[in-house]
Amino acid sequence: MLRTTNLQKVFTTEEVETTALNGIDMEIKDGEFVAIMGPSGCGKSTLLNILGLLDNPSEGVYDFYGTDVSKMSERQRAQIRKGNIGFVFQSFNLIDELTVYENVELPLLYLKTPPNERKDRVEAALTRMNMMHRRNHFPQQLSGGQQQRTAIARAVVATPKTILADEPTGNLDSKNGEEVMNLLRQLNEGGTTIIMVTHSPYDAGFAHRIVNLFDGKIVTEKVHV
Amino acid sequence: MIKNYFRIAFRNLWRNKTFSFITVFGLAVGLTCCLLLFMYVSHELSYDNFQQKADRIVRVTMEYSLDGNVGKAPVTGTKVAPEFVRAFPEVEAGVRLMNSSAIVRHGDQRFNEKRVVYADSSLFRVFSFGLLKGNPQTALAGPNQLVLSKSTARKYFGTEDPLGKVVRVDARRGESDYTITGVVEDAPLNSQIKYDILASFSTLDVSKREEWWSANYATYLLLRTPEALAGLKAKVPGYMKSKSAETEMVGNNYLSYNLEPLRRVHLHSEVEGNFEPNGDLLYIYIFGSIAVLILIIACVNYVNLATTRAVERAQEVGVRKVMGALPTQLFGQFIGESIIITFIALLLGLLLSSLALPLFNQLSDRQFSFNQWLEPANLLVVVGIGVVVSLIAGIYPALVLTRYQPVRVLKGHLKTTGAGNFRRTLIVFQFAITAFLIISTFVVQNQLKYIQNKKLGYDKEHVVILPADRQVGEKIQALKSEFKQNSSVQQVSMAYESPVFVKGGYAMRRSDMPEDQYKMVAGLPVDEDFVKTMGLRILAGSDLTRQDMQLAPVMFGDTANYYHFIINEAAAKELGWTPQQAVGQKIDMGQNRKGEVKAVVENFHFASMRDKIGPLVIFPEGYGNVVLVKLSGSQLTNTLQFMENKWNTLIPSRPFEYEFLDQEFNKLYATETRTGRIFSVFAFLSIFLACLGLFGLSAYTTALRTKEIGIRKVLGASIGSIVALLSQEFLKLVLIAIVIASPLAWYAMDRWLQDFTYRIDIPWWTFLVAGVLAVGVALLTVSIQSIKAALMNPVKSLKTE
Ligand SMILES: Nc1ncnc2c1ncn2[C@@H]1O[C@H](COP(=O)(O)OP(=O)(O)OP(=O)(O)O)[C@@H](O)[C@H]1O
Ligand SMILES: [Mg+2]
Repeated sequence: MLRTTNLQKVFTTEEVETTALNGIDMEIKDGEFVAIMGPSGCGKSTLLNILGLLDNPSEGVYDFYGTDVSKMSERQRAQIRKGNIGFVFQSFNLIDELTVYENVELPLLYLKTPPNERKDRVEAALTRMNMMHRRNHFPQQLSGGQQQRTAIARAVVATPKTILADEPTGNLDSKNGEEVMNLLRQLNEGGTTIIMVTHSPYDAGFAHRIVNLFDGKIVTEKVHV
Repeated sequence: MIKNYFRIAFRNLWRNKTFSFITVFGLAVGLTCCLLLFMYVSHELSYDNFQQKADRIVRVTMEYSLDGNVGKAPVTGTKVAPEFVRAFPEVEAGVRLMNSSAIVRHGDQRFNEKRVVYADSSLFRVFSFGLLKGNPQTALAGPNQLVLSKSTARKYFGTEDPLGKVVRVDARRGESDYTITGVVEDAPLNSQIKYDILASFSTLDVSKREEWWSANYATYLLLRTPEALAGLKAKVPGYMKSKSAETEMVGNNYLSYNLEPLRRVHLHSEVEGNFEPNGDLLYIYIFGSIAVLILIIACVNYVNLATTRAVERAQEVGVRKVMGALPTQLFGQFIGESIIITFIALLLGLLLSSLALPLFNQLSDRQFSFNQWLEPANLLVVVGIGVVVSLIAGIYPALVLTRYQPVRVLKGHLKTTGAGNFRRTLIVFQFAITAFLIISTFVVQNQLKYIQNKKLGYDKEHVVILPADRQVGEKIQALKSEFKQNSSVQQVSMAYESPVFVKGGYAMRRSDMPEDQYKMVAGLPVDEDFVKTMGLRILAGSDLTRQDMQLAPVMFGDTANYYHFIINEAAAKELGWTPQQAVGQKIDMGQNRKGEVKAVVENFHFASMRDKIGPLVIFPEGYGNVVLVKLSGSQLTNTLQFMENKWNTLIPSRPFEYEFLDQEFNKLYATETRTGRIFSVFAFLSIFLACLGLFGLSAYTTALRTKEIGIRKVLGASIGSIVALLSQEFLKLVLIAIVIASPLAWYAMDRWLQDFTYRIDIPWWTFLVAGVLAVGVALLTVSIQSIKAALMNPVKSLKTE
């Protein structure tokens, strides 16, 4: 279970101070599918980054499965991150110099998974995302949808409990977008917690719960049935 | 994981071929320079290390004081070695060596051997020259025994066993038969003692007498322990004082000896080498610094390109961090990449250096071979250089890359790398080194040109020097008239040595000075045609004649005769005369030459330009080691052929050999010439490397600004203004570099020039030319990129975003 209490995030640049998050209290149960929505600049990505342990809050407590991680160093966060959280980005963020197979393999390398098991798991993930036939291609040789499927394969290969997705369909057409959403739903049905930022009400419809942000604060929460 | 790193590294290299080429090739060229210069430096530093007893061997040099004139020489009389062994218990053995030349005949073959070394039989006990054949105890024990070096033995006898064979040796002291009693390893290149043939010292007449004076012999002592040196050194002056009756050095005059540890002789001795010129520590520093500087330039290229390109790698870093990579893992990955690149460059560098080796050998006047790299110690150094370079070049880019925050870079484009100022500093540093080397090159070349063109006071053009000996001396009149049959031969003269560098030191006094007072002067025995042959200018008095020659003794020691001297202006001044006053004055040269000044000649450079022209006395004496022939300069080949034919009929015992006087002159400045050449080559390489880096960098920044250029063009900017925009930043840096380098180069070069009494003032235009050159080349490099960008269709460049 993830729980935040009075989460604040202030960015200080040369002249201006931007309060990106201002007192976020939220709880996400295991196996939930949560969508975060709101206008541009309201702090959605900032929140997701903190939830994903990519960044620290300026203030507040973040309880990650029973541990307060809000004051941890990058090194400690990196240790928790690997194996526990998978990421999917709007711009895919595949490494251009690595093939599909090698990109998906990457999290397992950092987890020091033994080679045989690694091979099995990469192949399983690729099969699941229907990318096996493209495993030796480089990212530039793929369509946007294929790239995002690869990114999802990479996010799930280490079987994390939580997957964070920041506008995963933002760069895709509606057909490819639909496909990605269905994959996420399947993962959620398999027990994975999913937290997704989106601008699309249609995509948000896949979630159990929608959190609306405005100016760094939660304004409404809506629960689907 | 390592495999993954390798893959990334190689794919990166492959994908960005231009940058990879610049990085790898640049590093390879830098490493090549470094490897070659390292070879030179380590060779110089390794002198005599192979001698197993090196820490117990000392070279004995002589120091004497005559009426306040202190002289030092690398030689001693025959008595030092045996006397020291007897007198000092800490001395285990002594060996005397004399370097000589001889003509060796074997069957109908005739060889002119220049490195014949007479040595005591203790040689093999003291030194580790490996005797391949023969008995080390006896090989040099008796008179007329020879030990040949391996290659000399092969030259004479091929595969035959040379032991017991007899050859005829014509040395300065006469001709006789020698028996070959051994074959020894060739003298290593890093040995201060160099030989092709070793001959037994007992062959020499002088070996039968022990004399303090007649110092012609290199003396080495083997001590019982290395620690004994300090004590022995302290004892010698007192001991020599107790022998002052024997040495005839009384009052304030003294004769004593210094002891130098063997390994310090080549680089640290203040007295010259016995078998070849000593090395110079200064040049070790210079070459070492150049090696380091060039390598820094190459590393800077790597750092600059890698940090610039870090933008492209930022996303990869972000992704890896998100996947759970630890900073240390990423740091390791990028250092690993720099190690991979450096070692590719190192392999290429080894290949390049083996290709460049013949050239470098010519440049440095050495005979290095590639195999030296394969010796374990050197291989270790090569690998060490690789590791150090990987770290120096890799750490900063690795830090920059590792520092990227994933949240920032994964969001989208990252335009600046933040290392801008650091990169600018490095470019300034790089070009400052380059400008420094260019300026130094100009100064060295100018000084060399100055020396070449300086009026020497004698003709060095078209003068041929023929090495001569006693037999040539006997036939000199016949030789002169035969040579002169050819109209191209203008003058022929015999002299003790060439006027390029007169070494002989004599005690000269005005006849009215007290017996025990004298002045040390250089002296040169010549014949009556010397002044004419060399084109010396007589200021007062008249030239030597045949009659003057006959009045002087043919052989030294014949005392009943009367000398006519020619002195130079400096000598006249030293004795307190104007040239006119000097003529007719009575002077003595040593004990046995009494006579009068017949002429005063204008000062001419009979020594290196490093020293002021000192007093010189030229006197008629009928023996010499060189024949000087002044030619008209036309039909050189024919004339030389003509002379060779005449020589061979008149003097069949000695092969005809010649050298031009200006070649001999140039040898005086061999070190400087070599330095000049090395400077030029490495200055060129440094500018090449710096520009290579600039090229890559400008290509990259230009590419980053493609969009900006497109917008500017759409808004109406001219091509010229865009080129200026893109180039000015780099030009500013190069200019700053020149401003920084100029005073440093001025200071360093002024120090170097202080070595010369006759020197140039550093011309102001060197800085201008160096500046224009550096800026020009940099501009050319940068504008290739910016012109390309400026000419690009803006529609195309705007689409790239
Ligand atoms: N690194 C940063 N430095 C300074 N300010 C930042 C930084 N990152 C985000 N901000 C600011 O914080 C606020 C929230 O940004 P955030 O990226 O979370 O918005 P968002 O809701 O994801 O917007 P969008 O829907 O456009 O992606 C913005 O005002 C932004 O300018
Ligand atoms: Mg966002």
